[in-house]
Amino acid sequence: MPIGSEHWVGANMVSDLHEIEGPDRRVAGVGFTVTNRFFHAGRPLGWFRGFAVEVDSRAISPDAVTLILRGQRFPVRQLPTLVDVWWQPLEKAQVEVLDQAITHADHHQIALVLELPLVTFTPVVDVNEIYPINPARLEAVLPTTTAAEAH
Amino acid sequence: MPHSISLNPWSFEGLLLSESMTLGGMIERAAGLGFDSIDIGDLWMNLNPNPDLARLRDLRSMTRGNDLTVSSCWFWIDLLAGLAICGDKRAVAESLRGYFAICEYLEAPYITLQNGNPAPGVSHQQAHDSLLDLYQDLEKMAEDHNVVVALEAPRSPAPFNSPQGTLELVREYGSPWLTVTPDFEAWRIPRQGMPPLSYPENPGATRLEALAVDEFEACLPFAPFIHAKFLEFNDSGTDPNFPLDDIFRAIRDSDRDHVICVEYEGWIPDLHPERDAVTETAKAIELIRHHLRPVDAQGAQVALSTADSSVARP
Repeated sequence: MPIGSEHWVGANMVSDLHEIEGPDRRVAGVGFTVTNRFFHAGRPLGWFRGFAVEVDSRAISPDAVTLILRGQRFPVRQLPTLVDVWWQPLEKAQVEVLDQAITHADHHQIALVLELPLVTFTPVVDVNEIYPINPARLEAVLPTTTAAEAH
Repeated sequence: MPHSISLNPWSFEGLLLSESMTLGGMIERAAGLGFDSIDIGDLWMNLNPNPDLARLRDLRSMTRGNDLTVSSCWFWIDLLAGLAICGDKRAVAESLRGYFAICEYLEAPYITLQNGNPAPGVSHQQAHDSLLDLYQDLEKMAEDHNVVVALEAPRSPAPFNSPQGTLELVREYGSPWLTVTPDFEAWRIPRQGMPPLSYPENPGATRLEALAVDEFEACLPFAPFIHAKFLEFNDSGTDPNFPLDDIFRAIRDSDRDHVICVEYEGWIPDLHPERDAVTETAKAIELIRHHLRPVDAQGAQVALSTADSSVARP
């Protein structure tokens, strides 16, 4: 790790926010892109011991959040178990949040609330959490693309 | 002694991660600035966990195409963490075999690793003994792949990542295949406005003073590869965060040649992300050249001999 307190180059790390429409054409959630700009990017997804999302300052249930990498859908609850799915530097992943409490707005505030181990042996994941886990938070306020605009 | 100057692309990490510079651009810049070699970090090898062979080939071609060599491959490996997580040294060694092969393919004379930190509940003595035990496997792989292990020592408060702790282990083990890589960070002088001398991966460990340069000198006979961290340059072109006059006096007086690998880290968000990392890195190589210029009996500086960036393995 470098000195200092941050774990990434944060500019444009979260982008492309769009609203997701339900079958009734009402807002059913949001999706956004996360670009892997972590220092020492290039790790199994299990490196994330916690990956929670807040939308407009409201914590989202983990059951409502899916990370999509190379077309593969991973419920975020599953991330800590993924020792063999690697996320490469600058590779983009999509995050899908399905929560009907999210309503249309021109902008949404997105926060990623992460738990990261900082003592590392890159090829394997500390699945038993022998070493301490460190909290980290990434926030962005992004303009919304509606489902109609996205189409 | 002739020394060579290498660049760790970490110096341009902010540019790479913000997509303002490509890997190829980074290598071209390194050549343009006059570096002899580059030190390639694991994150740019597209490990999964095996490396992307096409990426390695690109790295080799781009390096050769710019008349550079690869000085080292840097892997984020804490050996003690590996032992704790994997449960036994055979699994750790097996995980590292591919990394030695990467170094051999890229013709890097050094593989840079760290001893790491003992897991909670592991005593100092247990960690010490398990590292020495693991070194036997590292030594075999080093010899097999003709790659010298450079144990990075940047953290003065950490018992096995400190220069002193790493040096003690390397001396005790006593193999030319295992060496110390002192990192200027361990000699950083506390200054107001700079990040504190505690580290994200060692949140409880702090120190108040820089290490004595004597401890840097003690490492040099065992340190063919050195990490020269820089954080910021003042109007005089020097970095006031490190005792550079004394550090480079020790390097000039050293009986062996060294690869001095620049790690400009001022680009991090806590320091000077607004500064151009290429311009700042150019100051680093200029400063090193200035400091390496020998002084003759009359106190005048003499011309530098041409650096030989080839490395004599044990």
